[in-house]
Amino acid sequence: MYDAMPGWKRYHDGQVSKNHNNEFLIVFAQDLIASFPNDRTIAANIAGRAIASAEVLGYAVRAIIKNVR
Amino acid sequence: MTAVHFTRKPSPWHSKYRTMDDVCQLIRDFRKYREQEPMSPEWTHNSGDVTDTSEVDIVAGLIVILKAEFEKLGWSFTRTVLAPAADAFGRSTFSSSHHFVYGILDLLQQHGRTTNSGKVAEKIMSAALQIVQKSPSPSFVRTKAFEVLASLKVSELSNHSTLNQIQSWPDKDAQRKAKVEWRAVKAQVEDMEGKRKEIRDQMAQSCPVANA
Repeated sequence: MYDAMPGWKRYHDGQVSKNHNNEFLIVFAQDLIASFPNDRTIAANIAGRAIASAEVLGYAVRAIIKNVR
Repeated sequence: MTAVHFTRKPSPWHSKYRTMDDVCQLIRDFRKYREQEPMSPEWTHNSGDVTDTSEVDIVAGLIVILKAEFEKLGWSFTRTVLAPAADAFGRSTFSSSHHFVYGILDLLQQHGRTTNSGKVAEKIMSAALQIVQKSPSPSFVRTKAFEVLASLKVSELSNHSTLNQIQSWPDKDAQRKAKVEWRAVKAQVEDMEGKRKEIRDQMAQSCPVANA
């Protein structure tokens, strides 16, 4: 989608009668996508969360087993 | 998985704008929920007043930011720029700051379209009228300000106030241009609102449960 944005921009620039709402929408959409974390940071975030979750869950599971015994 | 290479960073105002948008959306959601569930035990005797006051304050905050950003464009709120050279400004390339001003006006438009609060409508109308007066013609900012005025729920009042404002300008030629522009934008907004209503009605008919 991000890569398609310049095409939309070119189409908009080629229009004789400009719709400025479309222009703003293109800028906003580009900003929105560019402000998302990229796949590497997503992978790092997921890995970090998975480790944190495993620690918490591991502790919880150990506590449950201890109580059952 | 192919990595997407972002060739540009988000606009410097993007985070600020997102926050402003979120706050406005939150207020609208809260207002809608309160209207749908007026008897909910969650409400205290003054929760309605608190919501209304918060809405007025939030809109007033948006307007403060709008005015500050507008000043940065060189179109001062404190002096009129209805000068012959104004056209040159209007046709200049849009900068990132122009987009931010445009975006704030868009937020006010979204808010003004749904609000029943007279105070909020009055604040939005006053700010939009100032933008109309202080921005050059033709300019996308002025067109957007006209759109904001035409989208207000109090459409009769906004039409009256806009025409009164335009008639108070000393330059007859500027008056004539602005009236033509206002009528064109108003007709466009009304046409768009009609289409939106048509789509909403069609959706309600085809999917009555989801729209209940």
